[in-house]
Amino acid sequence: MFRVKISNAKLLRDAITAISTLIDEGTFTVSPEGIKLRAMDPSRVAMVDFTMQKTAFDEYVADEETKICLNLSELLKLLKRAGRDEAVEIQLDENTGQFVITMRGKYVRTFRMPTLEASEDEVPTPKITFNAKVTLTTDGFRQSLEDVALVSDHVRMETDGEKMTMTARGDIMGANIELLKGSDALLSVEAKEPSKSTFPLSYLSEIVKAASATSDIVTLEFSTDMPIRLDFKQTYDGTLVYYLAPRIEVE
Amino acid sequence: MVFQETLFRVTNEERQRSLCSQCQGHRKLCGKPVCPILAKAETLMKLEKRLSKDKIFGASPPAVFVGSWNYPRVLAGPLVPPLPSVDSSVMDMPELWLRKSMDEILRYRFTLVRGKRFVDVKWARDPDRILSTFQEVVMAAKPTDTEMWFHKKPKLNVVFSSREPPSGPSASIKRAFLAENPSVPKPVETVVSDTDLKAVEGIVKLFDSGISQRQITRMFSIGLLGTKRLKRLVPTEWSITAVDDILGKRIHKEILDYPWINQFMVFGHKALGNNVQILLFPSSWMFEAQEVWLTSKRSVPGVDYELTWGRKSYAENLAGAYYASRLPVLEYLRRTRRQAGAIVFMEVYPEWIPIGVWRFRELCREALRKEPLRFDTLGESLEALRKRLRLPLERWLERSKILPWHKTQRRLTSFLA
Repeated sequence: MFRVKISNAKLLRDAITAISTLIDEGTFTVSPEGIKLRAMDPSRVAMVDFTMQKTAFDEYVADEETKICLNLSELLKLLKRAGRDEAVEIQLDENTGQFVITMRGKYVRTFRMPTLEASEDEVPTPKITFNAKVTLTTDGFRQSLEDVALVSDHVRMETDGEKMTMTARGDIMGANIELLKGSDALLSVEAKEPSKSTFPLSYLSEIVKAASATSDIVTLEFSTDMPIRLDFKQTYDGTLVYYLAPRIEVE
Repeated sequence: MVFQETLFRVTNEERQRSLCSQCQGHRKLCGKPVCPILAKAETLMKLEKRLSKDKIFGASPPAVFVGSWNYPRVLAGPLVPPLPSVDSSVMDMPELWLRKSMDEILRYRFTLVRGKRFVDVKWARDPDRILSTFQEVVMAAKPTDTEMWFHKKPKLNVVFSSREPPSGPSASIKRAFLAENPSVPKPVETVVSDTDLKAVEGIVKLFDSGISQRQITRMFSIGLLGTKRLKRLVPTEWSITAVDDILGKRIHKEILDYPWINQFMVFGHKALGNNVQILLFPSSWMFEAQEVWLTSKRSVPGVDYELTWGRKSYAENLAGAYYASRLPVLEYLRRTRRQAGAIVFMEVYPEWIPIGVWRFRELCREALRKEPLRFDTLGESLEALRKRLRLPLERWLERSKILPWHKTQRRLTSFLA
């Protein structure tokens, strides 16, 4: 049995939007503790790791662990119908295998959508020792990425523990952004050793754009030529974390 | 979302790449004293005595043409050869043309007399008698005898386009009738009568029930698809690319679930002054098309590409050629239930006369029907391509966007515990 109620529908909608930048169909694991989803995008370049604890919901009932696979764009279409302060109730109809979404506002609306065959693959998280940790405002990070996207399709992120630099080199243009300790956008920076790594903007910008609706603060962890971990601080009990593989220049 | 058919316009880059469609036979850009195409057309026309009347009776392949000039009030009408009760289908069947000579194809096309009349694209919602006749022509699976009366005798005015094949003399239509009952395939009838079906869904449904892409494109163009309220005519050149894109998008979704190929593969086919070579490499889906017109020593390929998720914007540089070459690659991957990265190299030699984007689609399909060369490394496959391409390999590689991506971008799978 699975049934939840959430009074702030926007919370759920933004979280699903953030996940759907990487995947079309998502397999959620629901358990007595809460909901989680971990999946790689089809190109296997990026991963999303999402959890929403039961305390994030107004009501939460799940008596055993179940997997529910949904088409996220179809789910979003339905969630977008919920008004600003409308409560959304969701339950799994075990007889039909359908996902039932009820919105109670001026009148009661009930939508049904099919669940898909859940994938059985467990995706492990990358095992990485991170040498650098940088906390930024999501907005500041997003703006910096928009700046570098003007000249290139990838960005090099670099830190020595004192500042963080983002560099982009295009065919004819270049961009350099420095975030110093004490600046408005940079909340904290630490590094066990100087680290630099390059990432594709086509993924990074999409991820940050989608996640920025859910979060004001993002913590980046990276090491030289290793994947980056982006942890977007959520306003509810839960996590929204992405991993993105680096680009490595070969001669 | 309302389907944006105007998105699939012919871009300036696309037009400029084709010498003939810039010149239109009048400016002698190719340096020859007389335009060889116009000369050919005129010769053919002189032979055609049956055109000296203001009426024509013949079997339409079936085919229609919808112009883009003056959109949304466009010129539309059927193409009918002055040959009743013959099998004229080959005249509008590009899938058979790779085995023909350029002369034969031009002869087919110039034999087709084009009736035209101004139609507002929105009339598709409530077609009058003449437009209904045009629509009936296209619903038929086989050539259908059609009778057209003109205001004046048809005049030859060859127009070149980078997308659609040319047609013969044209004249404005006074009346048009079908002289026999068209044989309409069941799926066509079902989709056309379903006025709640969106254009995109209709296209996919027709394709899945085995209706040819050619017929679907004609139906889309003449305003037979779409929900009742949004039905409209779509200029032929836009409809060709829109259907390539819609069918491609649908297959793209499907192949993202398939396993990667495990070797490098090179496919190729040459015909009609065009050379198409296709490289498939082990990767998630990504696609790049490069097209070069070898008209001068300094020719540089045009490029468009997409990564795993597909494009969100129109392929401005290659336009029609991009979507026409992407669809066959996706069809191949679906057929073999595999996923891959792909680069299509397209060379156009000076002997080519622009008679449409169909040859890229058909050359790719033909190439992908053949047994490929297989290699274990990218280097070996590139060497094989070097031998099959006239433009030096380096000139292609320095334009490529997805090869550098493939070489430098790591996957998370290399970092999982």
